[in-house]
Amino acid sequence: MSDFEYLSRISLGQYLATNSMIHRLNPGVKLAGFSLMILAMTVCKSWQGLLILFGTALIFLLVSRVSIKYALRGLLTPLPFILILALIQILMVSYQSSQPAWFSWHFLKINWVGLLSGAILCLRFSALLLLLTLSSATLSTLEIVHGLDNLLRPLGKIGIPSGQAAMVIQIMLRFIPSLALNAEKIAKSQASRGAVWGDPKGNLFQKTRQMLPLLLPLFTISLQQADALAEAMLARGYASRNTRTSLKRYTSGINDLIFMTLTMALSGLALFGPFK
Amino acid sequence: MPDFIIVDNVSFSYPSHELQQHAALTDIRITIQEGEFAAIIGPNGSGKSTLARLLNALLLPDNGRVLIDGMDTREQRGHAKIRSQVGLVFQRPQNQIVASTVEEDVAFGPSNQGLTLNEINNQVDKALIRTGLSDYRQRPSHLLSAGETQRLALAGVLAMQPRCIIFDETTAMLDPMGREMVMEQIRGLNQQGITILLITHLMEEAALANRILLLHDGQLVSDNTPQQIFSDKVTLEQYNLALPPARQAALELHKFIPALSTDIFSANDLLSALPHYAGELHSAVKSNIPTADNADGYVQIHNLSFTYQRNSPLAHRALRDLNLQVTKRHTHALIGATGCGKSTLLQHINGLLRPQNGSVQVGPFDLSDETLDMRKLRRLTTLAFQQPEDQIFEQYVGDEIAYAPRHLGYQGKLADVVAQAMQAVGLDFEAYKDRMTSNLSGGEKRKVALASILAIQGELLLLDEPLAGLDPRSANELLQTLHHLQKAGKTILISTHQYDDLVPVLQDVSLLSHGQDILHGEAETIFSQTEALREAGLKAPLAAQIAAVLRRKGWPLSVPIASMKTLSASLENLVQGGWHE
Repeated sequence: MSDFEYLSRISLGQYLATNSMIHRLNPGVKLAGFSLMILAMTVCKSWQGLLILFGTALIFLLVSRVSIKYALRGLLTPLPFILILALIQILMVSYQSSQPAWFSWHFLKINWVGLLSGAILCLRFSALLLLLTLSSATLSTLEIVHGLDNLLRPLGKIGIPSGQAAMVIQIMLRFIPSLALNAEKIAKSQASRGAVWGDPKGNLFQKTRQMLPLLLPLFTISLQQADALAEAMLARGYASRNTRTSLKRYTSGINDLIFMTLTMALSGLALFGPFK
Repeated sequence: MPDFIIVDNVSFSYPSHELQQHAALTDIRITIQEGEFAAIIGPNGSGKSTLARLLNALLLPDNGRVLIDGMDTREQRGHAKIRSQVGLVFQRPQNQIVASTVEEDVAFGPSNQGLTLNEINNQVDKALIRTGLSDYRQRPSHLLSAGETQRLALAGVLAMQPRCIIFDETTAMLDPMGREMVMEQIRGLNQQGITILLITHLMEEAALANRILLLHDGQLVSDNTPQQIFSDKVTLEQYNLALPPARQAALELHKFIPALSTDIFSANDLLSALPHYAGELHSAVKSNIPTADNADGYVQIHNLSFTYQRNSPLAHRALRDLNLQVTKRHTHALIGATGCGKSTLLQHINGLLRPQNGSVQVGPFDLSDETLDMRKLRRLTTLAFQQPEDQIFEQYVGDEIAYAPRHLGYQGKLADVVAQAMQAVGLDFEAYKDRMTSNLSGGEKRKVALASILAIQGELLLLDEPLAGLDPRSANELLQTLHHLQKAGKTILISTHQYDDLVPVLQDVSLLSHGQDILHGEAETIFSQTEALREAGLKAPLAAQIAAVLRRKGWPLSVPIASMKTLSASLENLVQGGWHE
């Protein structure tokens, strides 16, 4: 029974310190590489291209020594949504296409064009989810912050405060697990006072009303925490106009070059390859 | 040497929308030398935390001035310097953590100071070594235990190389061992020349300082040594201060052991001052070991195991083959170091967690039964979480307390149930039912939260750390409530670190360690096993420690002793039987 284990359901944001080759890459390079692959997965049209990207994600998972079983289990939670979307896609595309139908009932019909585009949709979502699991397992929140700081630094020249933006993101990421823990605690304490969670009965309005007692204290606690955190940050000498130094300095090496070339080549192949 | 901290005639009030503006501090004058160790005490709302924030330039005085090493806190330019000289460790450690890994969090302060990479690394190393967190460098900060998080907060301040550290009720959320460790660290820091200001409710902690500042209602009413303050009957009574437990015990023991000095403030001093037995040996003391009678356990738990996040890389085992019997109408305590599985166990009895292995039987309900009606179970057993006041969500006190009976389908008039529950915790129904929950004090909120559990009128109450973070007065009131509930025939299961205070209301105790049950039995018997407690990472109650030392010094005490009452009674027996004959 894990009705209340909100933290465990978030496979995103779960850093797994296996210290693999991928973990040791320069965070800026990693962030850029993963972003490129996410972009490629989103716009890639051919199933062969998506398959290449899916395979790349799997190989990276292997290299990063994240258990494939764990990564694939992350696909299970959103699976129903993906399947529903795929079904809609199949019906829509089949309906619009002029290809002969394999199955038809009133205005519903299914043909190979529809099936193909449904399969592509499934593949695209699975690949994206795998890549997100991979990036959160190999990029610590800290690296995301430093990576962003690095990548955004050029923006400083046109007056955008990249350091503050990175600090905001750092704090946001640091609060995700504590929000989940707070939500868990509040939900439990209300369940023990007779609140019913996940009651299948009731319409959308009633369900939203059920959530209200959860959201209110969560909101209050978060505000209090934010207040306390701001105070603690000030007490430790934080001021936005400070020039902050940093604990880490990242270097780039031959591995970073290989990683970047590989992702660029594979993404390029997937996007512009000779697939029909 | 010039004074390090000068608080010169400072007044401060928080901006508020209401007309009657209440001054948080009035005309405070304090000077503190470098290297001092001062405790700041006073009830909730007396202005202790406000004073701390004024010294760190988080707040600026309305009148008067605060000088830190000659720098006026009202000068914006000096703030960076003042904040690196006066560090502040807050009450809830988890709210002070900025970054998601330990080392990066410790590096936050030095980064703000603009140190170079090498210097930062150096400071982080030193701070982690001093707080014993060196092995945790890469650990995600949200996965630390409460005690570790507290040490991390301290490390973050230490890395800035402050000359003064203010601890704002830093130990309130820790278990006794964790508290002792922090106090040990504070003493160590002071010996290294760091000025310490310790804000605390616990008199045994205040007694460790060289100087005590007593605040009351925003005014500094006393500024003296612990010896002076704790011997001054007028001050003590006027401000309703308790004596440090060690001094209380010394006064009590003095009746039977006239040689013992009463001028004792810390447990260690007391234990080493206990004399050898000088009376005649006689064996008139009957052994009185109660038989464990658990045949009709109201709660029966057999071989319970539970793993959080099972089948994931982050799986961690909280309970293993645990057994527990709770007798009906008894008050039963679960004790054990932080992380021993107390909370997990309580959540099983309430059905929030279902057994993965083993069985849990609560009254007529079998918790392994998938078809079990949870609402019936929760009408019977009710659980109050740690800091239940955080989970208050209704706007009015009455609604908050009525929430549970309303949702659990209570038959009858809601107002009656609410009134009864409020009466049980000592809140007046008419005066409080329409008050806003957001305007209550910490102690009042705790009462409302407790009343909202009692309104369910269950037979079995599960309380998770009910005393944590309460000031001595609120804690006393809560003990009264427990007494009443006991008399009303409730079965109560409490998980707690503060068992010293609870000994008088407890019948049974179970000791947990690393998810397993180590000892079960009658309260005084368990608490008198000082060795077993220490192995499980706990400290025995003071009376039990005293009894253990006395036994070692030849005193023929044979009954298990865990409270001052039993200790006095046994000593009285001895004195009448052996000495003054």
